Amino acid sequence: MLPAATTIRLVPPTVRHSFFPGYVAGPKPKRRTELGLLFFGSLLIVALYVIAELGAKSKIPADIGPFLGVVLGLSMLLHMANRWLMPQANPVILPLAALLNGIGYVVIARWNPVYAQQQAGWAALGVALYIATLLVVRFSRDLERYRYVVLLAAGVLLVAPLAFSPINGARLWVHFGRLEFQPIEFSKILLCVFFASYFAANKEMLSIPTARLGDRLILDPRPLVPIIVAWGATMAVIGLEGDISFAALLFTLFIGLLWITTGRFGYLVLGLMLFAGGAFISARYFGQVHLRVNEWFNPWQTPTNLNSGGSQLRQGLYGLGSGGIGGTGLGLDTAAGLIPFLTTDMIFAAVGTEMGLVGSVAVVVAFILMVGAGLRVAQTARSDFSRLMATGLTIIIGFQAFFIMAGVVRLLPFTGITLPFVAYGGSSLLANYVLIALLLRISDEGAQAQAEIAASGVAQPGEGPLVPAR
Amino acid sequence: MGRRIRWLGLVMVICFALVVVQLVNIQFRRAPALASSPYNPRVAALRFENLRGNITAIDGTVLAKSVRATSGTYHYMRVYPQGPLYAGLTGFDDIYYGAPAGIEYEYNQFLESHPQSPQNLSQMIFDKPPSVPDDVTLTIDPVLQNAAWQALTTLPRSQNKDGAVVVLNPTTGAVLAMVSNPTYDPNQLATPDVTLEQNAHYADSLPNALEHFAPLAPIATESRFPPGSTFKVVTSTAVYNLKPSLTNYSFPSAVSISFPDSNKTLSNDGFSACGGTMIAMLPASCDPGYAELGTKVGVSAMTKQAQLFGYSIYGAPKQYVPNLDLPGVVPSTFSNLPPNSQALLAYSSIGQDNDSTTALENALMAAGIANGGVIMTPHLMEQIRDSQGNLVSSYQPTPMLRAATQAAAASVNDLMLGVAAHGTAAGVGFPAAWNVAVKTGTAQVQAPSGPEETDDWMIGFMPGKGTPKLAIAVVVPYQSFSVTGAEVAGPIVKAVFAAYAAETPSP
Repeated sequence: MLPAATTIRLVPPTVRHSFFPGYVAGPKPKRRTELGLLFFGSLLIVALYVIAELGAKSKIPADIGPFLGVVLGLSMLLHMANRWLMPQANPVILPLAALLNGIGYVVIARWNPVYAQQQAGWAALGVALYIATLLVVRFSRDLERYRYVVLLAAGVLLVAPLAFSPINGARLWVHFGRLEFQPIEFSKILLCVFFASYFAANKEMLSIPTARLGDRLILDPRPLVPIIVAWGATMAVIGLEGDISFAALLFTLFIGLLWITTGRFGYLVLGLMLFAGGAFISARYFGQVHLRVNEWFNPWQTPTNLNSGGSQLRQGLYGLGSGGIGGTGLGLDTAAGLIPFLTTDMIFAAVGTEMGLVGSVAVVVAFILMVGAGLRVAQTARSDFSRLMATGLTIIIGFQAFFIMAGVVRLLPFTGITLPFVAYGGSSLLANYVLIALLLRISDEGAQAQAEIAASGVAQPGEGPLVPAR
Repeated sequence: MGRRIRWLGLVMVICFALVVVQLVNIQFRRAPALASSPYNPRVAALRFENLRGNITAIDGTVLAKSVRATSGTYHYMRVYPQGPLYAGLTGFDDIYYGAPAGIEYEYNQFLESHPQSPQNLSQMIFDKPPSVPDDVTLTIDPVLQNAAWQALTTLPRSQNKDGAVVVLNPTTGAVLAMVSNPTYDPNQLATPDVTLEQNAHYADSLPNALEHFAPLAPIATESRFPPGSTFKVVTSTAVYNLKPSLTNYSFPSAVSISFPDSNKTLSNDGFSACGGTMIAMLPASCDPGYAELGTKVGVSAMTKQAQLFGYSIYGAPKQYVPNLDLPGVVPSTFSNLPPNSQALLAYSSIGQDNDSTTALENALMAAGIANGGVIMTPHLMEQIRDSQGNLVSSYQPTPMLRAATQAAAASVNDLMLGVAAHGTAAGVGFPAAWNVAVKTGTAQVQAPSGPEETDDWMIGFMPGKGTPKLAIAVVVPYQSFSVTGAEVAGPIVKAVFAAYAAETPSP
């Protein structure tokens, strides 16, 4: 029997469930922050572009007006989409992505104008895809519902390159005429969705021992079967395609999410052991990995041919060293353009050469901030699935950036993977815009829920905001 | 879950922090070393902003010079007017790889522009002295170089034209000609167009059509071959020099010989019987006879004599490299033998087993015999002059090794005269007036592909009486099994000697 004084206040129903939500006017402090950051970032990008041109050709670029227009226009497009489609989303992630994209464009334009034109096109397409993703994925739980469809799509994307001829020794590309595409960049997102939804659904089964072995309780191995199969097939396919870096990235994602879900150190230890074993075997028996590891230990050997990464790594280190603290100055270096695969694999070295330690650390800090914001999104997410997905997407961005940057500075063996948003590459750029769109969608949902809870004045048990919504 | 996400965040921040630490290490702590490394293309690029000195042959033929660049970013580019002929000597000065090879590398400090010492008081007080390069003159004689090249690449031969010719002045050590085939065009590597340069470098670093040798590594100094019967010169010298009691040892005529510690029998070339003392055996190049002679000399004396000639022990940690002023020279090796070995010592005494020799080393050996047992330090630089024509540096001949006593060398000298007069090289047809002393060599090898083949050698010098003028070594690897060193390498030696004879009419 209820005490007489108890009143029950209902949470008011939200009005967000139409496909095209109406624009809600009113103060949106987060969006205002985002607008300011985007504007400041755009100016920075244009300034870098002008300085690079001044350094290289001693004249103000003729297309400064159109360039400023395009940069500001794309930024505003992104911003307006956020205002309309997810007013409560994190205000930092998008400006960081746009800034990194801009820095990457300036460096690419500096060394390879043809690629820069293409990259500009891809960036515009990325903005369009970002908005499209926000329109299509109205709720993150929609993705959870299509768990196995997502897995199937990831599988198809993974296998697709095997039907096409390899480029530079790796079967990573699907090509139609002149258009080349790296489907693995999208399958990384789909696999993240699958892992997150499966782990969220089977959280207890994966973490609480229920099966009986003699007089002891052990983990029921059955729930592990589908993920082991999915993961094993992924590794096999990537092995066939010869892409070691993505194998490492997806391995990190898988083990990381499994640990986050269950909290069982056993998975982490098992994962690390598997990884060590796999690394040892592949370093021993796969020619490409063996070569990379050798170069990692000794990049100073005399190059014998153009494709030897030793030369590439070495050229990158000379560039970074010549840059020093302040850099050679944008547009003033003479030799970074000689580094093989500069705009894709080695772009971090080009940044460090012309912008120095200041520039390279700025890029690292941008990624640290992005990872921090991403994990904050995960902490405020409202369901296990969206929380795991936000964590997984952050792992992808963070570790992809870490692997390539660590490779360039010779902290890890060098792997040919793109630096998110900075490096040249259509598939990578498009996929990463989709990725942050999903991340921000989760962020919006979390913030929305917290706002509603705050508005209702009742904190449900266990729903108290973990991190104060800002 | 929330706590673990925080842990994940910590791990990722640590990862990024490690990147930052390493960046500081590279871009701050090691930055000066990296920025000034000679392999840094930015340092290399500086060289192309300034004039670079000429490399010339002894007669003034320009082998390398700087000209104003017609395209590209830099002011100057390097031109090699003689094309591929001198590539193995000059090397190339390139932008991308930043590591010039050959003389360009060895004498870079003279060839690149450097500040001159002040010429007068005004320069000393007011102006900065000009920065100009020096010119390097080589000991190379283009007449001999051309003759060696022509002979190596055009004389009819069964298969491939790969090979090397090294010609020395035995009394000074001056390198008069050094030719390697395959070779490359250094102009393609010195082009201002980096893409063209990279493609050329890639093509030149691959083994050539017969999958034997990469053009970028000149055979003359960077490839080793089993010396075969030319090594009998070492065995003969060991007898005269270290075991004189064996001088008149006579091998009973036989086709083959066997050893207590092996089930193989060592047979003479063509399964013909041979024997006698060294005076009969060296001209006939008697395999079983020299094999037995080697076992009589013993492991320690044979090893010592090989080392006296500049060989290193196979597999030893410290390897002796002839002190030639050219980078990349590889050591030559004598088998690493157990003290009591018989069969292995026998094979090693006739230049098989793990004996392997560069053309340079074999030429030095011939020069040592010609020069009374003293091997002079080989050298390419004749003199270096600054832009005003003042002598900066010139080469003074210095002995490198004493390989044998004068008497021992004279005895071997006489044996080698016999090889040319009535031995295996009699068919080459050296005019008697030249007094040529030579030794042939035909070493059986397994080719990278296909049937068994031979590495064919000839070493020698002329004149074999009086002051020697030329010492030579010719190697032509991977020839068909049916030919011998005399047949293949002999005509090349003859062509070079003929060119020398034509150049300097006999007194």
